[in-house]
Amino acid sequence: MYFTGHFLIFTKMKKYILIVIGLITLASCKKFLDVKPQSEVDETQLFNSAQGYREALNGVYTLCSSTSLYGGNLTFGSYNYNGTSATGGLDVLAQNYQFNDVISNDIQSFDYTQQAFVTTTTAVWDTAYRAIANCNYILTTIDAKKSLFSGTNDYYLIKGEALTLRAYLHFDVLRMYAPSYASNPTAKAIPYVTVISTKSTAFSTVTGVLDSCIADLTRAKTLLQQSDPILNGYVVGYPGQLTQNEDSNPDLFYQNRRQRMNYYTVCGELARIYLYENDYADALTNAELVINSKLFPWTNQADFFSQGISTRDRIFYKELISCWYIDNSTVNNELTTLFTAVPPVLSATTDQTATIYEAAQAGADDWRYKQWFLATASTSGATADERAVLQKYVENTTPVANLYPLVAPAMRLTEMYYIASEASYNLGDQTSALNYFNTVRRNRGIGDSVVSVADKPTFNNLLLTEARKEFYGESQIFYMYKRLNHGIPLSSTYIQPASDKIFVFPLPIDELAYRNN
Amino acid sequence: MKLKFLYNPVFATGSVRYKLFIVMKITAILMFIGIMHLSAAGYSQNVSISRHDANLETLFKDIKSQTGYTFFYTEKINTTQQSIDVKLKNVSLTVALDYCLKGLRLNYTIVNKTIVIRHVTDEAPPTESLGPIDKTLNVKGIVTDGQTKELMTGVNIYLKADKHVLGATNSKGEFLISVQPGDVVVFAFVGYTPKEVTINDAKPLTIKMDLVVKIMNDVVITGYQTIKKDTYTGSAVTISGDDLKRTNPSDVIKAIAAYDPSFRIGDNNLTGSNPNSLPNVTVRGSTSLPSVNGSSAIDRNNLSSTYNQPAYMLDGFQATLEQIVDLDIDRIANVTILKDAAATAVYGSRAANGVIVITTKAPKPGKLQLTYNAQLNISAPDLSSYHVLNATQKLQYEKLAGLYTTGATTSTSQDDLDALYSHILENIKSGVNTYWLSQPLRNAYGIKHSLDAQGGDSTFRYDVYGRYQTNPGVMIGSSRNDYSGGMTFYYNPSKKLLFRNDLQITQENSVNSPYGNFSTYVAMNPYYPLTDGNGNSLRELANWNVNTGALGPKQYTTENVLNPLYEANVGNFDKAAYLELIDNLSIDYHITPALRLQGQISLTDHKATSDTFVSPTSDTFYYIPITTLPVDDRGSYTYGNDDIFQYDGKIQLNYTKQIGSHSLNLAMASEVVSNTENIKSFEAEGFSNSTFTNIGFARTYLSNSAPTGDVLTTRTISNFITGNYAYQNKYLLDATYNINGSSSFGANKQFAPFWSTGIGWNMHKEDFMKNNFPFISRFKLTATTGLTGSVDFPPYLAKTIYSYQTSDWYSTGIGATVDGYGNTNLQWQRTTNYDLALDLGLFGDKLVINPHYYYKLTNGLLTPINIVPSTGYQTYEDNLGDMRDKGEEVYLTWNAYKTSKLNINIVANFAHNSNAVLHISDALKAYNASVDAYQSNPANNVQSTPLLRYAEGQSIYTIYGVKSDGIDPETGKEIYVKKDGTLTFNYDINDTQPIGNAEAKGEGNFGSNITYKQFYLGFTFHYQFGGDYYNQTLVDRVEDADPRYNVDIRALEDRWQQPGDVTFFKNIADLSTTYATSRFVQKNNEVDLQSVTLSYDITKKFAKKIGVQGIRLSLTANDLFEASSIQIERGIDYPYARNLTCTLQATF
Repeated sequence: MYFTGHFLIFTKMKKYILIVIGLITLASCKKFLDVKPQSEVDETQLFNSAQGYREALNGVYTLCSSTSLYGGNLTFGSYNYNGTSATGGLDVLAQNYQFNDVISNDIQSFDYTQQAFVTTTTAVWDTAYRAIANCNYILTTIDAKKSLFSGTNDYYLIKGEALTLRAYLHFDVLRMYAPSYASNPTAKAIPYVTVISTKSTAFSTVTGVLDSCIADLTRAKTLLQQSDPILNGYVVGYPGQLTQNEDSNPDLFYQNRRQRMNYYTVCGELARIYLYENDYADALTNAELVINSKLFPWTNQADFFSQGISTRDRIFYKELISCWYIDNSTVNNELTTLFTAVPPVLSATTDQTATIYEAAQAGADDWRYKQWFLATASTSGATADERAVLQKYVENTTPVANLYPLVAPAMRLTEMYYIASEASYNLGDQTSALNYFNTVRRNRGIGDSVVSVADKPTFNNLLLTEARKEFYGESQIFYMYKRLNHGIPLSSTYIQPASDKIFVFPLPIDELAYRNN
Repeated sequence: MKLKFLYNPVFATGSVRYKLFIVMKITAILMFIGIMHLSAAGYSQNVSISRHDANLETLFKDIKSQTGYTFFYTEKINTTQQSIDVKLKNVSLTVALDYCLKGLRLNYTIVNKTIVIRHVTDEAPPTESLGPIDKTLNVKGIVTDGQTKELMTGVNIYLKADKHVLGATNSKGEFLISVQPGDVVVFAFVGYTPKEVTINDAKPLTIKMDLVVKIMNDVVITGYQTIKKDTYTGSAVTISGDDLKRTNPSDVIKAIAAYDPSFRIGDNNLTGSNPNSLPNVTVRGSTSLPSVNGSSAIDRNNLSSTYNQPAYMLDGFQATLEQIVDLDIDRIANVTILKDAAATAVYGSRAANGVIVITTKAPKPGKLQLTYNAQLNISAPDLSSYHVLNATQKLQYEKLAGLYTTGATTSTSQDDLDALYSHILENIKSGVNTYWLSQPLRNAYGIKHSLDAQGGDSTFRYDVYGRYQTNPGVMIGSSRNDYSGGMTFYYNPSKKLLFRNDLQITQENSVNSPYGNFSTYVAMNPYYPLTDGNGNSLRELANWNVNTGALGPKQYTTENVLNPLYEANVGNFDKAAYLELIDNLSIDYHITPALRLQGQISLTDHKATSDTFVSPTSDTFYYIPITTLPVDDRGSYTYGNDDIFQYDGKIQLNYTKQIGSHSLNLAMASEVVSNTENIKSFEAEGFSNSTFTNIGFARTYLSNSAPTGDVLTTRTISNFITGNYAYQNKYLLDATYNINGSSSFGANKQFAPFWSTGIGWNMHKEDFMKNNFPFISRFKLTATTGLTGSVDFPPYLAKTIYSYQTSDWYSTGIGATVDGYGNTNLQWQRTTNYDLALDLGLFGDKLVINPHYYYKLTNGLLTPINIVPSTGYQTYEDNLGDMRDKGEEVYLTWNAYKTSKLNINIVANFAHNSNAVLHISDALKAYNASVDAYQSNPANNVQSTPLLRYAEGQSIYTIYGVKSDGIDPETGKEIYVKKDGTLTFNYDINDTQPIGNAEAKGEGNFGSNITYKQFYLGFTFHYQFGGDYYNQTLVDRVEDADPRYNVDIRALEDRWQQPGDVTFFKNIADLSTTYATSRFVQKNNEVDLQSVTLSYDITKKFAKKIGVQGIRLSLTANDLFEASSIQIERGIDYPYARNLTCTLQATF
């Protein structure tokens, strides 16, 4: 009976059955097939919330801090799989180290056909453009999703930073793979990519790329001016030591503005780019914006020379306008092999550092010369020279913490002084130029000031010598040689003449082989 | 006829719940007590009644309560009228009944557990003279087996009209039924064709029942339809479960392969007979390229087993290969291999690689039937392919190879080398000659017990089954054990409605051998003793000082030889287990006899875990200095969890009708499948010793590591309509149209159409054939074509996916980065199929020959496309690339001899497939260059292994290497042939070209089965010829062999030693690398005896005597013998085994 009843209902429903089949087949099919991954996130799903944009932005920084980019190749360098030779690094090309093995020596002698070097520069190119693509995913969608953000603050901040990152990365790629503005401003340079597509973007000229960078940065500057917390009572300091400091905001996303692309980074980057194309007035304006903000204090001698390793500032942390947070195990292992292992992959001879820091002249008391290098006996035989090993990136062994997290400097206050100095000099204001120059020297323990320079080449040499000391292990000095189209000193007696052969890295083969338009 | 039921009538349709209860009770008893002699029912139960003035109803109540027998009679029998005094003590049931019915003109019959009470019919009952004339006929008779003439017990008898059960035959094969004249009565018994008899008078009957013969061969089960084979145009091979079991009772996949050479199990010489490795199966060649996403180049030996696999359908639902491998072979009713488009198009995007439809046994109505299977499987390692040196030969070889000469190979001084040599010699003289190969091996004994109980009637049928099976491997410690059970019931509340539910539970435990790779033992030198002088196991067996050829401090290194037996006993383990629950529910509604609606839902939950423990005393940590890895961080434990949940629902409408000469079989269905896999794993480290191996004893999680997890979901929707039409059973037409959707595809291409059509002509039904060629009993021509697809790629390839950098947070929060370009235009690989077939039967189908020709063209192969890296990506996936397979198949069955006692069948088949890549992307062409680079790097250790490459016009089975002109007799060096044909001693990777094709020219099986009286003998040989094989053994174990380890005997005997030696192998003292060249490509012609089965069924007569329905004893031997044109070491990481299986099958 029980079943018969149901059966009758079933019979009555006969005509609806076909309708049900129809419904199953047509309706909700699309929806059923639209599976959302759970351990990863679909693009459309990620960009459905303001939080998603924050995570996508953080993702770009994660890529930038990888060993392929600023957590390795573009800051201190890289090495081959068994840790026996360096495979790249702009500081290697800037002759800051000394090697015993063939591969490293060939690379240091600008042999850009070395397989190890090709692999490294290919990885740099690929990862930089991967990071740019990640910026583009944000930038191509964020305007349509403006309503997701409560208020305009986050929208401005995220868009501003994404624009800055895109320009910053393109500018660094330009500085590696294209001739300098000084050498050939109309040369075919690199693609300036602003779209997501499998179609390749055409190459721009050097000037074209610089213009695009400036355009992106100018937009970013406006956006960040309205939204960046760094402009709002922000106090720069060591973590955990100040009341209103960089890590007191309850929202992680607004902390550590100096570890992201902040307003002053945009100003600084603009200053860099204007200087690159010899626009001294704009360069000076932007550099002075940073300097005059007085936000970034000079480092105390006591902090720099602190006896306790957990209170020692090894990098002039407070002077960093911007840096990459690289405090992760991959980079740490990388740094160990580069600077701590026996023998370390990268090291200079003690004679070499003495020369770089002019120990025999004005630099004998240079803080950096005293603190940044650890004299170590050479392992390659009794007759070999003593080595000087860089201490900038030393991470204390747990549980002793460092004064600040491990970072790779992206932009320093001192660079702004150098830019201001060079721009002023070229604008004819020698007094200001030397004033900026001497300020840096004073804050590095070099007592005697330079009061006059004979001519521009002398001034440039003076500036390069000084900058090389400051940027040791940070890669910026190579760009400076290239920007000034200045030869690279191989020894105290020989200078490798400036040429595109040494300043322009070969493009990855794939970039040329697979162009589809 | 009006019937009255006493107490709880059994056969009413109204009271289902009680019925269910009984069944559940039986089920419960079976499951929890597991008694096996339920059928031993008899009349011996005794009754004691002591009543005064009792009527029949009271007495029946008493008898029922004491015996459990129910009573059954018409209401014309008045049970309350008379009263008698009864005083019975412990008498048999029949005595009690006789006593109670004495003088009442009533008699009785006992059917099963029912006592049927009737009037004695020879005289008309006097009291009924005014009523309607009772024409009831009481018919008695016997039922016999039509062939053996034996009497049959328990044959069900029911009315055809309303399925009303009239009774069953007793133990003497007799029956007595009451029917009305003109009633059609059906006699039914499991395994026999039901017999219908129209009864007009009360004459005694003799019913002859005939066995159902090979019913499987007459229909094709496509998973959605059951179509008469005669009218079907698709290409399908059907195998019965019994045949499978006879071929290989311990390996379903191998058993299937014996029936169809197009169902091919890929060679996996690495894993041998490892019970925990899954086979790699292809049907009619390949339709997709092996994935090249990984960074390393692909060696043919380690191709993933998931690519080009056919789809498996188990009882209508998609199943994994693992489920099929672990399936109880006794449960299989039949297997159908669907191959061409006409057969597979209903499976749309799953169809391109063929579909294997597996149906499990359905319960049959009848009295409770118990089947018990016991199996003993003996496997013994097969080391016949290994020929290693003994201790004396080994030392001699080492000397010849220059190991005891200072300078070239070592920095050890000549004095020390001489000392070492004499030390080893001394060892050998003292009798050390260890046969390392046998150390990790054993003869393995596996057992299996399975029990199946089924029964019920036409409204309710059930089947309860369980299995316990152990499957130990020949390497000590490896095993795969199954425990499975399930329950199926069929319920027909009315003739139009059928409910069916299957519940299956499987527990599978697998353990890998702690002895590691077998190759390690093969490499051990025979002069190493197993133990030291005190009988302790040695750990370090030797230290070789080796010249690596590198410059600087790394030129000479020490190579330590550790005892693998020591490692085997430090307590490492590697095991996995899964628990799987499957429930399938279906409702079948016969709207009209021709129209049928079916709804099905299936749920699968598969929970797998894996546990891997590496002991702190393992060799893994032996040479790591304490400064690098502190003692308290040693020992590791990896735990993994893999949870798969799948649901599959479908609704289906079938229409089957014969109108005059037109017969039609239509099906229309909608199906949705969703599969979600949830993977988690983490690793712990720091164990104090190998005794406390629980993960709870770990000191900490693995430093600097995070747990891993992933969730993968795929969903598909399929809607199709398919039809089979035949006119006069002569002209045939099949057609299918399918719209398939999958979540794996791009948002723009989520749905794709598939179709097929087939035509056929049963020429043998034409008069001109019948008249002119009477010896041709069958001549069926079919031609089919269609489009099918395959989905062989990760679920989220078509989406732009962000992954979270969980182990690498940025200081301002977690970051998400894009993994790859999501191609929203990504779609199916489309395979166009053509199939031509002839089904030729001669002399009344005594000889059947069935040739096929097929052609498969796959377009839109999924391949990586290179793009400029400035887009942010190096490659993305797109449908670019074409591949074709074509081939022939021939099946032959010959009934060579047939009498009532002796029957001889001869079966043979043949298949040949040829594959060619027609078009590939630039990225794949570039991949070849990266393979060149990979292969030339000595660090990758693949210089002597031919790697997978792609070239247009070549097969994906092509072997690539440098052509060789053999060994120069003057120098003992290999002569290479450059691409331009010139000869050189210098190897150049750029001269790599096709040097062979691994596809066989022909492959197949042949065998015979012979039945003589109760005996059955069957055997199957497998053969293949014409394919090329790169003999890796000759490289790894002869020529490239490191003389510090044991080698193949040919390394000593067949190598070049002095100018003028014409040899296959190069200079014995030449320790330089041997490269992959055509020298090692050999023709692979082989014949192997796959199975021999001998079985014996006891006679019905004897069976009856011992109270069973049947007993079968059988003996099957698998992989007994192999003859091959090439000599290779078979089973590198795990040896092959020979199997012998003894089976007992008893039905009660």
